[in-house]
Amino acid sequence: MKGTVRLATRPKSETTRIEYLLGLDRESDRESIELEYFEDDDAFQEMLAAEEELIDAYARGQLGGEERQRFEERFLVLQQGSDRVRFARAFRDAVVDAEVLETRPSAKLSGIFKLQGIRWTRAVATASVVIVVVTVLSWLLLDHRRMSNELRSVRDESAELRKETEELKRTADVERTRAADITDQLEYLVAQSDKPTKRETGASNQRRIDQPSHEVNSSSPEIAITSPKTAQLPLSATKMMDLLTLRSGVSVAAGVDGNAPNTFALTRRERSNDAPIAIGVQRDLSWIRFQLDLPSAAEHTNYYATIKTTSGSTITSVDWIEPLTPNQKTIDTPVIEATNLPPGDYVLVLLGQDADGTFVKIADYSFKIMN
Amino acid sequence: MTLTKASPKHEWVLTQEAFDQFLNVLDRDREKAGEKYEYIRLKLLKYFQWRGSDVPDIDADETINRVTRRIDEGQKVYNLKGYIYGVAKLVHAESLKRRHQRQGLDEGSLFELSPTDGDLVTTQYQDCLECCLRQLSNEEREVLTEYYRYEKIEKINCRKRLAAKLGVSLNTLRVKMHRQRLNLEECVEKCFDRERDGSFGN
Repeated sequence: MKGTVRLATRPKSETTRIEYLLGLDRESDRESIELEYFEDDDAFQEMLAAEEELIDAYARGQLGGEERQRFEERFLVLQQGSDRVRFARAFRDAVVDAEVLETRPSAKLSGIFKLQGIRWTRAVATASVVIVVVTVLSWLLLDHRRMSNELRSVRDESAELRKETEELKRTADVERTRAADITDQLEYLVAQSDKPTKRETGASNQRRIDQPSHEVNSSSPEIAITSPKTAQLPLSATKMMDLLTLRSGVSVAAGVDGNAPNTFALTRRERSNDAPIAIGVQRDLSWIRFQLDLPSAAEHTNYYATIKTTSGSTITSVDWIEPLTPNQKTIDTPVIEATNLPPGDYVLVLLGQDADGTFVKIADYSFKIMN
Repeated sequence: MTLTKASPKHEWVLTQEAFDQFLNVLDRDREKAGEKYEYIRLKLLKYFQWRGSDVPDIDADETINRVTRRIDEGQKVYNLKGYIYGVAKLVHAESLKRRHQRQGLDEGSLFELSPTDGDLVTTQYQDCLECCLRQLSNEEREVLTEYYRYEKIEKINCRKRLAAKLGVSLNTLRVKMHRQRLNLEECVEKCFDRERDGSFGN
């Protein structure tokens, strides 16, 4: 179709009717339209409505170009067509005036209703937003209070646990002290009875490197436990003199106390040229042990001691498990057969086992055996 | 009075009996038949107008006469509307042929308002329109003005709202508004003719 009919957006059937009224359609379409509105009254009413719309469009100046020319050729050639156009123009003005004058109150009212509607919508929207915000804030506030209460209770529990922990620590310390006392007493009693203690089981690990043919006989530590041949206190003057003659730069290790003649205290060698500690071992002693001082409080459980000659030959070695006491500064070796240590210079190397299983050197001790 | 049937040899003249027979074909009820007759005539009038006839009313009457004659002569018509349309096409073709035989279109047939009484006509016409609008009830006037107030999309929406408000279909509302507007047009034309005759008579 040439040109455009500037009317309201219409379906295709409406456009077909407009084209028919302006004579812009095809002959085949024309006959079908005509037959339709002749036989169907509704179709005829639609044609009348389309004609009315076309007249109004022309009266408003909405037709242009070919449409306007066609309309004038078809509708304005008759007086009736001109009359209808005149009415359309007058009616349009009357309707507009009616909107401005007569319908002003209702327009005002409708405007007011519109305004109220807009205000109502805004009010509802605002109220909804406020409700949502208040709800969220309330939830946040309640949640904050809950979390504060939980934090407070957690802190209280933590303080309580801390107190209990400290109490337990104090109890542990007390128990440890008691255990140390008991251990000391036990050692004393053991020393008194001169019976091998649990440490004597470490003698079963005693190795004799230099005398592999040595057989365990009645002079073994086990037998020594049951029938010690060691000298008992008090020391005879002769023995004392033997010991005392070893002065002149040589430390003489005596028994730890008069009740433990088999135990000799050794101090660790600070420097390689430190003088060895002279130890007078009675000939009738079948076994001896050493009390070693430690550079710091004992911290290992498993110990290993090797006795070597000054030339580096290993004489014997022992390993044992030490039941530790707090701030333990000395450690006693298991019993060592006296026959393994003939008179001479020796070095004892003490090792402790770390948590990863490796043995680390703690200290070495230089001593001299004299009969 | 006894009316004789027109014989084919003589020019046929519409008689009362023939017309009654035609109405009887439209509807057995005389009053309904009369309404249908008016409606068919309007269709024919519009058909000839839309087809560009310069004498649509004459062509419409000629079509009805021919149909009435055929019925009067005993022809059985099964689809009256379709038959009427067929006769209308023939009448239009004859009318077109006669018009083409005349010398061109008469450009003077395009009516233009005289500039001397244009304003007067407009004012008088507006007054007649306002007078005819006042004859409607408030509700009728409000619905009519509301129906024709808007344009384009707003017009469609407004008419939908009106139809919903009145509880009728859009089609029913359109038919009703069209008839009311035609009545208003007729009222205004009559009023304007009276006023014009009165002012011209002065």
